[in-house]
Amino acid sequence: MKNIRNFCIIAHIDHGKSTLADRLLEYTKTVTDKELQAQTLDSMDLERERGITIKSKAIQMRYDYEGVDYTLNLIDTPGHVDFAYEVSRSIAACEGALLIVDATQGIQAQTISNLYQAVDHDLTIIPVLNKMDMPNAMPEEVEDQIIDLIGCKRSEILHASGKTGMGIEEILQAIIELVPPPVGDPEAPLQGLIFDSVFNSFRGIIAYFKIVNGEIRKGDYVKFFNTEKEYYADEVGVLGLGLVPRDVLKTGDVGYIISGIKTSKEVKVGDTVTHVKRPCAKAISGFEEVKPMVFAGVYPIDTEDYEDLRSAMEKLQLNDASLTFIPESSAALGFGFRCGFLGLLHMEIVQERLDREFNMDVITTVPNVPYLAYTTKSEVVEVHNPSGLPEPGLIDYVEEPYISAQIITHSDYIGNLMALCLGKRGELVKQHYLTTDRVELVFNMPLAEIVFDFYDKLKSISKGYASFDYQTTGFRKSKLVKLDVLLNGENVDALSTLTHVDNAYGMGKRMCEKLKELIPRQQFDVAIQAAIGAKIIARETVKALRKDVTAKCYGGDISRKRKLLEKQKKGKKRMKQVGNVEVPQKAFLAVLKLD
Amino acid sequence: MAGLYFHIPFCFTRCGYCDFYKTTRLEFMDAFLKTLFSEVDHYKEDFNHPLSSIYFGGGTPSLVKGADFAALFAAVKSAYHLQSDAEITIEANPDDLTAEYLDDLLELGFNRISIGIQSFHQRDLQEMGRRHNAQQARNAVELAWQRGFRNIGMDLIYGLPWSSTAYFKQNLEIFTQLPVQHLSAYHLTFEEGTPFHRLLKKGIYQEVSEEDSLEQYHLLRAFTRQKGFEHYELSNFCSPGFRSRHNSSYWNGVPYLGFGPGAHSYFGNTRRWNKSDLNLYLQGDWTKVCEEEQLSEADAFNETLMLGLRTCEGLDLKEMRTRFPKFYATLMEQSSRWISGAALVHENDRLFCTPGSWFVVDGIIEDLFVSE
Repeated sequence: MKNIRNFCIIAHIDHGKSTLADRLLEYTKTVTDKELQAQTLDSMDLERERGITIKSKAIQMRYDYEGVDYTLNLIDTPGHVDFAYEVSRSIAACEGALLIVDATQGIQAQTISNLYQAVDHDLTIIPVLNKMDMPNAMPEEVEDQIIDLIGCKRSEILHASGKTGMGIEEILQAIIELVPPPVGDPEAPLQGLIFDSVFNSFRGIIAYFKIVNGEIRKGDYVKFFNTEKEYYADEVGVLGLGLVPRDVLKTGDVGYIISGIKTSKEVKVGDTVTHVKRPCAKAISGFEEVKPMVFAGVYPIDTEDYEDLRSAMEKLQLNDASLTFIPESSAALGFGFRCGFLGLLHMEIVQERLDREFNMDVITTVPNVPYLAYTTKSEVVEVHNPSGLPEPGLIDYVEEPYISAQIITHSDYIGNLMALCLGKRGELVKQHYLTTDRVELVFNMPLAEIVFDFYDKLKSISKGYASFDYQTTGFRKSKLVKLDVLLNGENVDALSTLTHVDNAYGMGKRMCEKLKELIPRQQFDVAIQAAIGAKIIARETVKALRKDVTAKCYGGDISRKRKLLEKQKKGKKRMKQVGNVEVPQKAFLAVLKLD
Repeated sequence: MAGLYFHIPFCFTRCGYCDFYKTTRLEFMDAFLKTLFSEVDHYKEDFNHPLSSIYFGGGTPSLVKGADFAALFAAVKSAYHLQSDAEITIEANPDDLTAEYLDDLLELGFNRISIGIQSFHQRDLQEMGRRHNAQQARNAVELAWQRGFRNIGMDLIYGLPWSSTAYFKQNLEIFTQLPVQHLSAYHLTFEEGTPFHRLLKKGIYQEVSEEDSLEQYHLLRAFTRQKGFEHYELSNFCSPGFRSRHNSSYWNGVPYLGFGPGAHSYFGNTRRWNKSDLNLYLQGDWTKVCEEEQLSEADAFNETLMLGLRTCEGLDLKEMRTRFPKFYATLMEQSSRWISGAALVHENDRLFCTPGSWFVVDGIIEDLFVSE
């Protein structure tokens, strides 16, 4: 145990985490060049394309240092706020963390929030300036930021480059010398922390865990504390480039367990694995059920594909336990599912995986956050869907989720960012200068406000020089209204949204304007109205087509003209008929991009 | 009832908007006529309906000499059953219509003449490449009347790129003064392959705005109504009793046989057409010239619907029920939103467009189409 080091990497997207990790794997000869894909740790295509790690993985390295054979377990962490809980469990499984900061860019919001988690878990922090080979590196300035944040000495900050391999040996030395070995009682009942799981179509769920106390052997009868499910450990082992089976894993080890679990729902990140016969007294603290924070309707474009969509969603859920879905129907879109996502990125990923892996073309409706409606009968209704909001007369009050949002930016952009956040109902909690020109801003904000176009605006306002992260902080009372859209007087359920009353007028107006652009002209005027209850708050009109006719139709024109119109009809199949109005698919997401 | 159509594919010059099959190689006229005779003879066994109309279109049928028509009529009469009261129409260019030629036509048995005037504006005639001038256009109509034609039709084009409502109105004013019983008024369509289409693509021509088109259409309706004309098909107007019997047969599913390159035939659920190729035609190998298409039930339904909704009587629902029981329920269900939107009228077991919706009828037709 004293020769084990468990560590993770805390870094912002693009700060070179994956490349640096690759260098570590090469240097310790864990992988050969040939085996090394561009970014070994990111094994989903989608992840590689986006350059971010969606799901965390772990890998074991062996390193001979001063004649002693050390086992180094690198636990990778997802780099996006949607997966914050998984990050926290990965951090909880480690004793040390490499804080990697891009020497050309400095600290970003994401880094800080993960860093705070690592500090909370008493991890030893090893600060590393990456990309030191770049001519635009600003080591002194970024070192100032790091010193300010973690209070280390300048000499403790390592300089490295994932690209050239500079500093890799120093990093490995620092991990061994500075990160403490895991502590735990090898004689105590088994207590293993599940920090991740993946689905393998041949072997089922592979759960990754760290043994906090005790040991586990192949064939042991184990149970998962929170799900209360019991299994045989068909296989246990450590994580090399692939799975390396072992007969036994001991305290402090990081490894995997395969136990015939078929779906990811049965293995929850943060859960504790123990023996059935000699269980631990209590679970490892910090377990939370991950709750979806963004909900949207997902409908097949072709209503006949509903069953195919269901089976695709079921398959996706096998390796993505955080995806939830229940059947839902819409007058406009037919049968589909109300899906719960961790966040907007997660939603996009699911949509893209449906397209890539299952060839499913779907319409995603306007997303919303979960609301709590307290009724006059003192019931609490969780609202995931605009139509789920109780009648206004039955509502006592409504609560909406709030977040603590951290923004780190150059001081030049403070004014504009303040205006943006205050305009999104944010309350400034903290304004802290990290250096003379880098500022950390903390706001309390409703989650709903960042679901739409917040990221895009943040980026454009700051010309890309602002980073953003958030944690949910609970629910607060809110004045919520249901904003409906009517096409020629008919309510289109799939276009309804829940919004704060202060935003309703602006949003209704912009929705009408956007829909006017997207709905093609038809044989009659199409009235687009936004309404709250019976009150119309905005209106636009798509003017009728005035001329849609061919003048001549004699003997020679008949077949040609029929075929032409038949072809046009086929082309319009992708439109949805709402009442007597034809609405293109993209209109249903119009509100997402209102500017 | 049945019709014969003769396509005379010769023109002195090509008009910029025209996409009918034609050639300016007038030297092939004789060879063409010779082949035409053999084609008339070739199909006589297959087509024994009594003929209620014969129509000479083109091209420019008025380039055919009286003597050639005489021989052709003789051939037709010997091969087919021509009814004594058959409507016999010739399309004519104004500048071909001399008194002598008109007298010949009357004597040959032509009882209807359709004069390709298109416009009385000199600018229009020049841009379109017509070979007559505005004065010739008026004279031709008056002369035809003088010589004894009592069923005279004329063509007008509106919606020209440079036109305005006031400009088109001048054409309509002249039209009202002329002794015509029929008017075909076509909104300009930029057909692919025509010089006009190329000019549009190059940006030299622009389409008139929909508002202008519609205004000209309304003006057209107003002037024809004032003249006592009925608006019996989207682009056709006439004095009561002067509908084009031949053209109506296209819209009412009456069988017809077409002769000449590019001519179309329709009988017994088959559409057959000669390829638009004079060389091929002159070789006279009918199996090579001809192509045909068997209409499926859905095809036939779609065509009936498309053509019916373009006429003032619309669709005979009784006929639709009998001929297309499979699609009838869908038709009624789909059309209900158009009826409630006042684009279609359901009355006396017929379904028809309102005059206002005719100008957007393509979208309606398309919506009501069925597939197998």
